[in-house]
Amino acid sequence: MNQIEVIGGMALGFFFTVAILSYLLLDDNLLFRLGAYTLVGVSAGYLMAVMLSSVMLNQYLIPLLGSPIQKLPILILLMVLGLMLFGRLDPRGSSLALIPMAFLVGVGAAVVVGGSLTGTFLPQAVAAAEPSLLPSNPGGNLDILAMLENWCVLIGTLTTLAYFHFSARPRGGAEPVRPPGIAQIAQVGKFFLAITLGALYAGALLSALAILVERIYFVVQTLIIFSTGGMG
Amino acid sequence: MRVRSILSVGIVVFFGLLTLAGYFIPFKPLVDLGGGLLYIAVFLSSIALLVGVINLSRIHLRKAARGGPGAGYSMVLFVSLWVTFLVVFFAIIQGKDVITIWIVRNIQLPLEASLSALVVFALLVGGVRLLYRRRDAVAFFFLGAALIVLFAAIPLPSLLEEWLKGPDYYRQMLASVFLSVASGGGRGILLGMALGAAATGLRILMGSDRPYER
Amino acid sequence: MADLRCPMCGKPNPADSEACKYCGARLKPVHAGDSKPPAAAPKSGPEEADWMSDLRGDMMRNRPKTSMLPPEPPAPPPPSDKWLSKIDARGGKESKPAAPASKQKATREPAPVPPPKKAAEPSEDWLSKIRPHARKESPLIPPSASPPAQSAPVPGAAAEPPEWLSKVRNQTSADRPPAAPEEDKGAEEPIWLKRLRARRTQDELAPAAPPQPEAEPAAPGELPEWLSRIREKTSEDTGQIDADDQSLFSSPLSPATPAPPPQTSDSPWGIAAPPQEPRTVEPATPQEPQGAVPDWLKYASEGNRQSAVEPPLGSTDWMGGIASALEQTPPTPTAKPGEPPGRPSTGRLLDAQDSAEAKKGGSLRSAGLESAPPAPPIQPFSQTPIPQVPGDTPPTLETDWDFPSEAMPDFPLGQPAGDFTFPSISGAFNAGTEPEVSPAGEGEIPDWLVDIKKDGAPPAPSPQPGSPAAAPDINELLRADTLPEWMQRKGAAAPGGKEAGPGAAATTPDNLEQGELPRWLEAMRPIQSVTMPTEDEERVESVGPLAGLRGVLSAEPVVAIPRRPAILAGNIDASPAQLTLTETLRRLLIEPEVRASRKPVRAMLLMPLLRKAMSAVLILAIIFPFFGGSLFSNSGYQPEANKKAGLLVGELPADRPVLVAFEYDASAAPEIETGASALLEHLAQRGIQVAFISSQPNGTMLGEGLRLLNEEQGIGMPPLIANFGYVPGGAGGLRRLAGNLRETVNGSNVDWTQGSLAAVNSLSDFSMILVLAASPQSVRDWVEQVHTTAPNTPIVAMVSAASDALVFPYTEGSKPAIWGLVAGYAGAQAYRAAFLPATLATSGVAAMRWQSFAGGTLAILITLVAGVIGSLALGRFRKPRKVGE
Repeated sequence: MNQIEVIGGMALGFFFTVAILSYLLLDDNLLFRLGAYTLVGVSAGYLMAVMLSSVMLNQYLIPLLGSPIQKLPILILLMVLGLMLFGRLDPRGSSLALIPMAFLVGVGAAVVVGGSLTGTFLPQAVAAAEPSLLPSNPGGNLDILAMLENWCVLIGTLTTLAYFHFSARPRGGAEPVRPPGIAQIAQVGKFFLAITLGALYAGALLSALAILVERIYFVVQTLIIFSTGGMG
Repeated sequence: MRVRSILSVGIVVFFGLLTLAGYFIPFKPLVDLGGGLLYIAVFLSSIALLVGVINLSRIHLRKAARGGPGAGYSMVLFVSLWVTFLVVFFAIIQGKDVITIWIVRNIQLPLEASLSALVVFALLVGGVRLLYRRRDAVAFFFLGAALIVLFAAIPLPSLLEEWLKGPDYYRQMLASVFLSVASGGGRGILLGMALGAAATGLRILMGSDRPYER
Repeated sequence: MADLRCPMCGKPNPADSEACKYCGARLKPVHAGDSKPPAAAPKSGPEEADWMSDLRGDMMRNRPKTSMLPPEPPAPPPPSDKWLSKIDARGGKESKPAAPASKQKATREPAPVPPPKKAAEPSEDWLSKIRPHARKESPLIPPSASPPAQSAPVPGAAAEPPEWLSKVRNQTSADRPPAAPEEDKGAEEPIWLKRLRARRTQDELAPAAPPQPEAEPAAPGELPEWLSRIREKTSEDTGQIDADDQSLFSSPLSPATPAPPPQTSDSPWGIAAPPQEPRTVEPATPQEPQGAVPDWLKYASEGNRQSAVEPPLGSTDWMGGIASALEQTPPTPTAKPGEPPGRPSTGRLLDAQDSAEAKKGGSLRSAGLESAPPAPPIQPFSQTPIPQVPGDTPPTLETDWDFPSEAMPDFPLGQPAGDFTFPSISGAFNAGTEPEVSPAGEGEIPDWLVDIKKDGAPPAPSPQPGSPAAAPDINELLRADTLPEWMQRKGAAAPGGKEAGPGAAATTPDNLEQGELPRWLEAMRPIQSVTMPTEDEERVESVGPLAGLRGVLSAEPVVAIPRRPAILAGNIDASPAQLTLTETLRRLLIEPEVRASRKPVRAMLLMPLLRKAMSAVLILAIIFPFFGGSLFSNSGYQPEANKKAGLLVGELPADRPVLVAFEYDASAAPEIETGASALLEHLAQRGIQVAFISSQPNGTMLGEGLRLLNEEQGIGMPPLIANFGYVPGGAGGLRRLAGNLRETVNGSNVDWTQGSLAAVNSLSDFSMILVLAASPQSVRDWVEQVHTTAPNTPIVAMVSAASDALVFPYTEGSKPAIWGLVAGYAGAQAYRAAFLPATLATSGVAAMRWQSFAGGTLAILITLVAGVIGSLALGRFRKPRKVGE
């Protein structure tokens, strides 16, 4: 990559970075909006180009066209379904896109159900039950710290799961409440949930800070390079 | 209208259950059939993404042509979309990844990273005002957990590192325990998310929910 | 014997019948010169000559226009009415000329009353005095009224006076035939009553012709010929109405003098009807004669004044008709269209032409009105056009015969009032519901009248088709077409006038002004403000057992669903002052709520400053290392999962490649690439080959860019054996990838024969899968879709610090899905410090970035702590908000 491309890229990156960071001082302004709309346009255009070239051409059409005649029905089926899906662009053709959309939704729902049940729910349930509630240290003694940790994890898991129980019996005009046992457990789970969300909040802060640091350093580096007239 | 509804529900149920069977029944033909269905579904998902982008382009073109407030921004979006598409498409066709990389690292990355960097200021202001607006136990636990995680993430001062390495052990211990406690909540969240996703998927597979008809 | 057809009802009657046996109308009109003597005029004593003559004149003037009189079966006067007979006797002696007054109303009696005897000599004086006065001042006399032409008048004819009228004039110049002696009807009916009955409004009889130019206007100061004839006659008679006089009261078209009304008890008007209250120009109150005068006579005298507020003269005289109706005078059948005219006892509706002519004449109606045209000179038997009712030409009551248009009121008792005007007789009998008066004195029809009848009387204005033959009742009097102009609605006349709206230029009478609605009232006019919504047939039901079906009827009708109307009835035309007041009121009402929800001014000013201050502190902490050097150590806390990741990489076989999945986007690239670089460096240090793959569209491009960037910077990168590119479909694509690796990535131009790639057929052939993800969902997808298929292939994840808490559970358990976890910039630094200590930057940009990161973290920590302390402190001085506010 030659220097022109590098410097040009840096300049463009510098402009866009400053345009977005100008929000700190100027709030919603012309530069910020320009940057936001440009981002959407570039991302959408890149996505469309990748879909057309990398996926549809390289992974489907070209291989199918070069494949034996037995795969021709598959190609035709793909073309027909794909064209029907374009009916979504027009309200009059929305009914035409119903069949491919139904197929897509059905297969996607199956993938989600299968993956969540087999990849998350079962393993996590087993993992929650696995830790020993009376762990022992290598010396064979009760490891109190481990026991506390295991108990906290278990209690946290169960109470947090109970907090997501939103079924409630109607009580006429009064506000519906959870069943008596679930309500108390959910109250405990609320605190575990608050701790988890606090940790997530801190992590988000750190993540954004890391990005901010990198952007500030980029701006400073670009200024130094342009001010010094070259790259060291 | 009724025939169309029955047909769509039938498609969803039939092909969905066929795909789901491949997850639980280790029968190779069934698994291969599921793979074939996924093959078609992936292609259709790509088409759906294309349709979405084309619709976006059409909307902003109309907005730009109509004039009024925001028409200029819509024109910027429209132009940038199609310029990027043409450049990237031909670059990929010709195998020139350098151009694509250049676009990604010099246009997309600065824009997206800068937007993400602005989040820290919003989060910080929100955290500062939390107890001012809401003073209850949950808020205290929330902020306390955040402070502990931040405290644990700060490296030791270099000048005091030698003296604080010993006490730092306790800091790490506290962080570890706290992380374990937080993981309990995280696991509960994961379980809840998994159950919710499964319930939603099963509703679709049973025909109770029809998002494709909206 | 040929049957006679009744001119009123049209039914056949025997030829020898005098009156119709169905409706009572006279079958044989009275002609001039009829041998039949008129009904005996009431004869009055000499001492009552003056008031009686005056009375007669009043009666003739006050005669109601409506022909409400019943048919006039000839009936003798009741013998019991002695007082009436006395009156008749007295009246018969009078020589008062029964001058046709301007508002002489036709009586109901079809039979003409014999002209009364002329009044005594003193009456001539007042009459002569009246004449010039009337000619000067009468606005009702149509200017175009002219002496009738010699030719027979034709209804609607404009140019010439009717022939009969001219003949009348000619004849009057000749010797007057001796007046037929007034038939003494003393026993039957007083003469004055007969005269009343015989009276016809000249308006009823006169055709609707344009105003005729007067051929022979009477010279100023000179009595008209007809009047002079009357005088001569009355001077001779003793109260009988001679033929000439009769002509005043009878239609010239009448073929014969109608029989006097029978004075029987059966006759509804056998008893003399009380004199009608005149509604037109009336003469001055005559001098009340000495002695007792019946009230009704007084009333007749006193009420003859013209009132300025009375409806215009010459109008339809619906009031007079109402009065007559109230007096229960039976209606007089009117002539049907096409029927030969000459039924003087009937009143007919004038057609539009007549009304138009009457309007043009503007005779009596305009009396009292400021804009009334001057009345034409009084002419005998002139076809003075009848004043027209404005608006659609309503039918007006007509009389069978023409009457002298000139109004020569009979003022036997004195001079008229100074302001008295003499409307024309045509106006007096115009468009009214005057009861017809039977031709008086059928037996005393003057020769001119006879000639007229012979020559063919001008057809009387034909009544409107379909008009009832019977005299109009009170309902008819109140019809719009019979109402006077000032009573009629403006819009009703014009076709669709009401629908024309306010903007329509409605014709307003001269005496009315267009009213203007005030703006506030006009704004309240209801308009169609709401368009009725229609139910969407394509609406998809979303709840209930019918969920998902289209075309389901909604539980609530569309109209019942509250919604904002599409068209607002807010089209209020308000003045700027009103708008200002409205805005002020709105602010007064809304302001408290806005103030309540509005933050205090202090907070509004402080928050932006606080935000900018925090931002400044954070940025200062970040750039501090540029000036302050290193304050923090090079590494931080390393979690257990972080260690496991390093240990795993350190134990990987070198002959099996590692699949690196770039599952982050450009937004998280600065953070993820710190850990990605560390892990890739570690792999490079181990000499392990890698293959790139991504389920994100730009993942592999980011990976390629990282690799190139590191290589440019001299950072060791593992050898890349394959770039599988973008795998579409998200979780489904990963599931497909896990099922068939080579088929899934066949479009990426991979050389499967190259190096260690030859042994890779599935994901399980990789030694490790390194997932570089920014979001926990991407990690979940890899765990759920790939790990279940390749459980023996460890997965190491490098995630963002924000995803640590949600990905960490996957690292726990006996068989964790994720073997190692590096989280965030701190984790990457800790990993590098632990496993790549040589690469740990102690100086340079990388080191400065760590220092900046550490300083920023400290700044955030301090800021949050300060915020907590400040919130707690401020909370002591303000009311804490409840949860959920």
